Amino acid sequence: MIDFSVLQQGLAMLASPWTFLALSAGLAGGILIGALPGLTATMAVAVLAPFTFFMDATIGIPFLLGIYKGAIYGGSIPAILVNTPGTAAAAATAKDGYALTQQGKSRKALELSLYSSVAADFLATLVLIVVAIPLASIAIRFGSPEFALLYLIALTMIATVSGESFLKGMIAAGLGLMVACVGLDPMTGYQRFTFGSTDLLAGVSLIPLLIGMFALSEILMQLTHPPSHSVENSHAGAVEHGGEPLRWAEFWALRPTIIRSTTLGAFLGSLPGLGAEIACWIAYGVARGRSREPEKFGNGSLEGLAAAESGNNAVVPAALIPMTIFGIPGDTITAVLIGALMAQGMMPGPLMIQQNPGFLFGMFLVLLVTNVLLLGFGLLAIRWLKQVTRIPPTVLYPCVMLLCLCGAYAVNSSSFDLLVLVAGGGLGYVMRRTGFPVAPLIIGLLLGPGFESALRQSLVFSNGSLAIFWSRPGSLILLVLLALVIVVMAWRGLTTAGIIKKRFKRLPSPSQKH
Amino acid sequence: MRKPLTNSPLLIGKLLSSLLAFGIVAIGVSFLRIVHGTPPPYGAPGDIGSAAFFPGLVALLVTGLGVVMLLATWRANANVVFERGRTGVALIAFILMLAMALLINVAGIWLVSMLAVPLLAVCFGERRWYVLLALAVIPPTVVIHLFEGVMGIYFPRGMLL
Repeated sequence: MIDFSVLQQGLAMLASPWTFLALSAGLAGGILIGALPGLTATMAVAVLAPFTFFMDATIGIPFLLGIYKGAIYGGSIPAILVNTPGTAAAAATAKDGYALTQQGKSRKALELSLYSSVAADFLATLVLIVVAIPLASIAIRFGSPEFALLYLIALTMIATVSGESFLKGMIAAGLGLMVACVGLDPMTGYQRFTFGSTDLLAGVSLIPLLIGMFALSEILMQLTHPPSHSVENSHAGAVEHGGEPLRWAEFWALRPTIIRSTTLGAFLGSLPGLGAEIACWIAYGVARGRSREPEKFGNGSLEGLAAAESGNNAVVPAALIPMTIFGIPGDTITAVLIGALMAQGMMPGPLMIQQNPGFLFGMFLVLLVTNVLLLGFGLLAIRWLKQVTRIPPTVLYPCVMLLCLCGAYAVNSSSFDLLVLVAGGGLGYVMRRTGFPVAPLIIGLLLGPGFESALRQSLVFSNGSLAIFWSRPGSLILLVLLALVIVVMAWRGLTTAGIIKKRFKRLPSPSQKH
Repeated sequence: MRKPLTNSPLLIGKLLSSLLAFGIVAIGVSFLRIVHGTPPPYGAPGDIGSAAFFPGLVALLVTGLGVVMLLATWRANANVVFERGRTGVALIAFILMLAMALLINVAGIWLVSMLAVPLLAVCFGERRWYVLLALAVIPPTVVIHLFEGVMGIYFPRGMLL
């Protein structure tokens, strides 16, 4: 039964001029930040999230969604023009995009990138709307055993797929869960690991830690490995920008590639841990495998460019599926979005669907409208944003550091949060230098309280019996899914480490037996 | 001629990885000590209702994984090569950030940001005095006014005011 008050609330959110302004500002800012090499989409959302705490949720969240979408698209502009991806998600775009620029077809490449992004984003948003509502009705029926298993599946997946090492991912997730234990116990209210500090009673401040781990650590990484000015880049100014526009027939011929890459991106985005940076390469690889002209890939293939761009942009709405339904972040950016929603007094997941359905419906509408705006802003960016890619890091990063400092302080007006910010920056830097993925730690920290409550509640209900995790049909299905995830991930990890291959080599072949 | 052992990226990687593994084990063990060293009702990790149950479980997992990491580091085919870079400059920048966080209450936002922003630019290699001067004045003025004027967030003034 359609609840008209929910529709009304959603439409009212969309019709508000402030929402529209915030969305436009977010998109413009996101495209600008995404176009600056070295500034990632996660960094942009983390640094600008504190600005939204002083706005109404109907203004603040569209602003952050605009930044998210804008930054993912904006990363393609320097990738195409100067062979330097603005964000990691645009790495595959650079391969064919820059080759087209070298052939004097930069306009065609930029237009194709924009149209593919908008088409993929629109289709994936429709998937989000279609999938979210039925799944939400299932999620509402979940009890604590199902949630405990769901959190465990998410943590296992994130720990195993977001880095190169299964072990390091698991350790990072474990550390995140340990940090989540700091503060008051969610069930009994006892102080844990606060060491007598009142600043730690509410736990480690999430937003300052996120800003530190994503933005400050990025500054330190840029200092460690300064961006190289390759020969190609230094001659980029000599490349003629412009050329002929994209023809409708060319774009129409690419629709199977765009639809296939969008489907892949949407599927990968809906799985916790797999972000746009992985989706773009998988979509690119699949497109190459199915292409009639695979030899053109890497040399200016329109198919390759369309696949990379539609693959990475389809992730954005899809990553919101686990966030809105289960409160599980699909990637690091949605982890920051969850932090922003929590600061607004909303808890993503089934509770949000029950308590704020109007807001959620409004958010879906905003996501659809963003695509129309992205088209307009993207066309302007193609024309005017070429110069932005030349801002030197000597100017850019000190300004980012100042924004981090002010943003982290603004959350609670506490100088203790600045120490959390710097500690997060140091920790993020050490992790990145030593090959530890940052995402599992952040997501472990976010899911920790929910996971702990669900696990302990389940065990209290069952008097400590683990049978509660397989005695209910829902939890049994999730348990089988968890076992499947563990087997697949363990197989992948052991194959990567070469252990399984070795064992097979030791086994005598059937011909040797006889 | 044999290369000195300390120059081997693999050996440095193994040593660093071992150090990290020790650090992880140390964190896990110290959490376990707190959990087990506190009297009940908090410190009863075996009791589901106790606040120590979950931290005890996680600390045990992290300690175990730390030990596995230590053992895995010294496997013959372990890939633990440490990529070199300008770590010293990053360390200086980190100390600058830490000083900035510690001094904000004493020195105030203006002094801290007017010093920290150009100093970080120096770390990035900026040497032109007029750029450094512009960085000391323009970004702090714009950002602080944005936060204070638009968002109503007031920063510590320190000894200046």
